[in-house]
Order: sequence, then C-alpha cells, then structure tokens
Amino acid sequence: MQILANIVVLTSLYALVASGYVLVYKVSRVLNLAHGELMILGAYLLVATSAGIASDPLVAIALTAMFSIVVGLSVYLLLMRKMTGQPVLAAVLTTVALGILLRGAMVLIWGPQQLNVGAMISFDNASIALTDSVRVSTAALWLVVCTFLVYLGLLAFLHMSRWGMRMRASGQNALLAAQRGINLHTVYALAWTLSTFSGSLAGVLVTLDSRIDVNMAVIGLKAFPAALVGGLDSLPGALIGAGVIAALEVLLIHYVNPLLSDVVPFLVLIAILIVRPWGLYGTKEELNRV
Amino acid sequence: MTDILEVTDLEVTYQRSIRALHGVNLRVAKGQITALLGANGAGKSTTLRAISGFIGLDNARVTAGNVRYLGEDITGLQLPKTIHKGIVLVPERDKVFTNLTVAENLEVVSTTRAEGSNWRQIEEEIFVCFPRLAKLRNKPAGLLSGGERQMLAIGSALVCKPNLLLIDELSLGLAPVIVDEIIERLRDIHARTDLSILLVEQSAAVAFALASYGFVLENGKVELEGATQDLRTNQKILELYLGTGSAGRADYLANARRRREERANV
Repeated sequence: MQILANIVVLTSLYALVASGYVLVYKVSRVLNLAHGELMILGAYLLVATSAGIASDPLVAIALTAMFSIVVGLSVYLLLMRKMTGQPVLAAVLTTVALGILLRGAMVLIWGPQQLNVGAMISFDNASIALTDSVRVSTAALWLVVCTFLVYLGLLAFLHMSRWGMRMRASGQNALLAAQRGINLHTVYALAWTLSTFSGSLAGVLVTLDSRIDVNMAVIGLKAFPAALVGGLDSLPGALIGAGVIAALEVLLIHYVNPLLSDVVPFLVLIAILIVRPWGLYGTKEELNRV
Repeated sequence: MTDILEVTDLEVTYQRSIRALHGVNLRVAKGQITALLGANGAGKSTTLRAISGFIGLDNARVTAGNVRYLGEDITGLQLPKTIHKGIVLVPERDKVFTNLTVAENLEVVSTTRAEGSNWRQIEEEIFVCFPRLAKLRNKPAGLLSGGERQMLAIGSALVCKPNLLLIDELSLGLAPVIVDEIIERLRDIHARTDLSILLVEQSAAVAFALASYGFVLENGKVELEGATQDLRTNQKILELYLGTGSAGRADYLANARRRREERANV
C-alpha cells in the first residue's frame, strides 16, 4: 500500500510539471525546455519572499504564486513574443538559452548550497498516517490536492471559457485564429503565464518536501517524458503519462535497484518514441517536432 | 454608387523575392457582390490575403500600390486590425478549427464585451442563416463534410460583423447540390443586410450566379472586367472558364488530329 501512495505522489509531481509543457506546446507548438528552471525559480521565489516580505507560510506561498505569474508573463513579453512567427526551432533554442541563463542566475543569487525552505517559512512537514501502514508527508498531500485542482481548473478553463477555447483554437490553426480576430499575443501570453504558474507551484511543493538546490531542475527534465508519453498536446494524456512513468519508476526502485530512478523516464521516452511517436493521446499529424 | 474597396496597382512579394501580384486593380461597390475569377496560381488568394492583412508567419509584403477601404488607406494593415475595420476573410483551406465543436467555432471568434454577453442571440442568428448547422452544434468541426465546413466558415466570419466579406473559393471541391444551397443562403444573407462581398472563384458559373460585377485575374494582373451579364457573353471567358461545351471539345479533337497529321507529313 505504501508503494501505491508513493506512486500517486510521484504521479502528481510529474503531472503538475508536465501540464506546463503541455499548455505551451498545445497552444504555440513550442517546447519549453526551460520549464524545469522556471519551476525551481518558483521555489527560490518562495525563499526570497519568506526572507524579505512575509513570514507566514500561506501569505508567502500566495505572494510566490503572484510573482510566478509575473515571471511567466515577462518571459513571454520580453523573450518569446519576438519568436512568434519565427521557425519553431528558433523558439525552442531560445528556451534552452533561457534555462541556462536562469540556472546561472539562481546560483549567483542564492548560492550553490542546499536550502531548507520548509524551515525558512516554518512549514511543519509532519508525516500523516493515512492508514496504519501508509504514511505521506504534509507537503506530498498538498501536492496531490494541488495537482488535482490544477488539472480540474485547467480542463474547465480550456473547455468552458471563451479564452480557453481560443487557446485550443490557436493551437490548432494560428493563422485562422488571427483571421477570426483572436489576438495571438494574448493567447500565447496566457499559455506561458498558466504554464509558469503550475510549474512554480510544483517547484514550491517539491522543495517543501525536501530541500532546494539548482540541480532539482532535473525534475523538469524527468517530467518531460510524462508529457510526451501522453501526447504533448493533451492534458489528460499528460496525467496518464505521468502515471505510467511514476509507477514504473517506483516499482523498479523498490524491486530492482534504486539507481534506476533517473533512467526509467528516459527509457520509457525512447520506447514510446519508437512505437508511437505522437504519444498515447496526442494529435497524430503533429510530428514536425523539435 | 460608391466603392467600399478600391485596390490600385497592388504588388505583393513573398519571402522578399517572389512576386505574386503585378499591379492588380479592382473595385468592390458598396452592398454588391463582386467576383474575382482566375485559374490556379493567378493570384486570387494572394489578392484577398493582401486586403485582409498578412501576419508575420506569411512572410509576405505589399511592395507597391494601395488598398483603400471606405476612402481610407489601409495598405499593409495587419490582422487583427483589418477585422476591427470590418474586413473578414473566409480562407480557402483550413477554414474551421477541427478540434472544436460547431458551437465553439462560432464562440471563439473575437467579439466585443457587449456582444460576448449577448452570445446566444448571435449564435441563433447564424443558425437562422444556416439551419443545417443548428443540428450539428455539438459535433466536432473535423467531422463535418466540405459543404458544412464552408457554411460554418461563412457563419463564423459573419460573427465578426463584417462590412466587407472576402470569400476564397466558395465552390471548390463541393458537390453541386451543396453549392446551390450555399449560393441560396448567401443570396438570402446579402438581401437582408448591406454586406459587400468579394468572391474568388474558379467556376465562372458560380461567380455569375452570385455576382453583379466581375474581374478576371491572370498571372497576377487583371486582364478583363465588366458587369457579369457582359462577361457571360464574352468569347474569351467562354473559352477560358466555361469551356465551350461539346462543340469546343469536337474542335479540340479536330485540332489534335490535324496536328498529328501535320507531324506525320513532315
């Protein structure tokens, strides 16, 4: 049973991070390879907020969420906006550069050592007993709840609100969207903002559960196979992809060798790229990926 | 009669080097349907795209000439500004969002806040124009037939509240019975509103059924223009776009036979 709980928690983490990849890819066909760094930036923002502005954990987290929205919006307006209408490869390479820049900047500002964010905002990460034999940490429980709410919110937004529909429409045919008067810049800015918000949320929650250092951006890279297994442009697909990767990872760590944990997602990635390159639920014709 | 649109000596260049239009001149009279005829590659679509505005992705530019709309110079104006002015295009290919339902296709169209809250009424108006769409409202547009897609595309263009509707290839690839229905619907809409329409067509029959004035485009230039009743009897049009019926085909066969004999004699 403990294994099942671990799978659910890890699925939530991968799914929450993967939703960021999916949002940006679905709407603008750009693969955001800086997503892992943006995610950790969210966690460092919490460090900054708790140190400088608010000491109450909830206030600090709320402020961090607001800052992450500002970060997402600035990334689009200052950087990716110029890439609209350029070849997708240029945009993807820009995100690679952005990731490297962010990584360097974070080391310069917060240093290379590990920080204990939970202690800084006096967050009590007590272990909660769900049943006699199953225990999860408070942060992990929050992670599961937040992932559920974020997916529910995103799916409702994409399918029921007019701007959500416009995001789906622009992803399908950007030219036609422009010809129907939809402002592509607004749509893309919205996608980047939502993506950075969910990424930062994941960053905050995962660092509350452990400690934070820049190398945790690799979680972003490990969640990418989850997005791709499900199909890069499908949110439900990302959820299922995250489940597949998380289950395999937890089971292999438990029954075979803990050292496999970093390898499993990429083995699955290669397998799915060979068998079904558009993913389990992706759009089949979208194969001109970078 | 005043002109809603006046295009003078328009030249368009793709990718900074490929010239698609070589000085196109045409006018659309207010409240009238005007047809733009021409074969493949004559520059019809480019003309419409240039009027309705390019976006960065197109890598195209108006290099000479100008476009006047309601007396105002709008040359090189980009999307979505042209839409706000009331110029709306029904594109040739990829004219609906295939992953959205019929109702969603109508709803995503950019509207003002007031229209947005009045949304049900707008949707009903479109369904009155195209009753067939009402039954399909929850069906994904990707599953529609070509004719239904064309109706949906015209419907969602109408949601933009156009003064000037540009339609690229109304009848291409559609069954004749569907074309008749769409022509009927467009006539209805045109009769009820003061909409001006610029119609691009390969089929002269469809163009003559709808339009009152026509331009014939060839190799990026207007070769011929006139009221459609005059064009209808024009010998050149008959040859180029209508075919001349069985008599013409007999001629062609006779010509081919004569050429073969000539070659054999040499």
